[in-house]
Amino acid sequence: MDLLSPNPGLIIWTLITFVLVLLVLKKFVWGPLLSALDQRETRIREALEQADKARAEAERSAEENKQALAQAQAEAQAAINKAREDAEQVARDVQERAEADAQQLLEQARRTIQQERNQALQTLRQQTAELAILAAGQLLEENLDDEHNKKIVDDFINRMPDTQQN
Amino acid sequence: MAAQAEEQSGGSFILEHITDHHELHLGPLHIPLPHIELFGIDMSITGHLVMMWVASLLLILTLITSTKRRGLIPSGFANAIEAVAIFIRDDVARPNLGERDAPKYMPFLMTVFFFILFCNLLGLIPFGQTPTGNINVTATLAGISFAMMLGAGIKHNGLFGFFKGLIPPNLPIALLPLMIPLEFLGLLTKPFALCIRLFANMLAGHVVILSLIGIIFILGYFVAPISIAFALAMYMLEIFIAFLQAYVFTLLTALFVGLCIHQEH
Repeated sequence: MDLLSPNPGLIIWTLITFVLVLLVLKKFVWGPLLSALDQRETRIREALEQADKARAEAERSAEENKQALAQAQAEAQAAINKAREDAEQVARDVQERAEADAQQLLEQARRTIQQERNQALQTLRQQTAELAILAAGQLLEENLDDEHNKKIVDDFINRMPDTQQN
Repeated sequence: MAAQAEEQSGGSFILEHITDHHELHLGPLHIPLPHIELFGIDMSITGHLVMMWVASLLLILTLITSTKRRGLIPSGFANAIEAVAIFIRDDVARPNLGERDAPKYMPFLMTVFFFILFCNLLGLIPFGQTPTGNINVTATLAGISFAMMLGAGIKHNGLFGFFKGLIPPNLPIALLPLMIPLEFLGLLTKPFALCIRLFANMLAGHVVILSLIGIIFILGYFVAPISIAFALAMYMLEIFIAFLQAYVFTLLTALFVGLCIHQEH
């Protein structure tokens, strides 16, 4: 046969062969192969996206942990400060009350003393007056009116300087 | 026939090697092939046809066995197949056909590539012949590409729209009688170039190798080392060309189909 001679039989056979090969390969090779390629690419893309997401998540949770820790520390510090202030307040209150009590007791004692003293002074004055009257009566042997004498003595006592009272 | 050729001039054995016969030549063995006639057409089985079937069988068996155990992680030879598939998808189909249309044409383009590649490589195996070194085979393959171009163009642009799109827009009416035949010729040139390119490339390598070997018998055995060294270099080049031409055919088919789909560019 010549190099360039047309051969219709071979043309038809080639066409049939090629179409058959195309159909067989399309069914058994290209279909599964190309879909597997797409599938794998989708898988890889998804895996990468997921990895990115997971990393972002991890970073965010680490940040959150840090913030929570800082907050917890701040809260603990605040609680400690508050407790210390409360304790100081309580201590101050107790001290103030004790001081006030002591002051009150002192005051009361002082008042009682003053009262006792006044009473004692009063008694002393009366007795002194009576003694004076008695003494004066006996001394003068003059029958004087009790009322009158008493008045004189009272006046005498009242004329005494105020300093005597203390 | 072979005895005849050897008795003739030194170059005729080359022609005997590269042309088709009604018998299968396996070295010195000449196996007669059946003559078939259907509807008045000579459908005889020829040597090149048998070789094409061998290539097709090898192709199908290789691809199916290597990609049978399909997981998400490929292994072994399936890796090579996938590398080619990804290359054709990302560098041939998508740039020329567009992201949307590429997947539809991928099986066709992959088949074209591997079919031509196996046919090309078969000629490099001892006793093998190159079916793609036969112009009838390359013409059919180019015809299939042409049919894909027309089919894709008509499917995407409509029958009228496709042929209207062949003419550049805003063309003066006076130029129409000139442009219509020119554009029609341009359309036909594409598959014709595909056909001749593949045929000539496959043929030329074999002719050169056979010529280099033939020199030994013409000039004497002392040129054998040089001849064989050159033939070996040519053989290496042919392996490269077998891949290159399969790629070029696939690339140009994708390009032409893409041009028919996206006529505005």
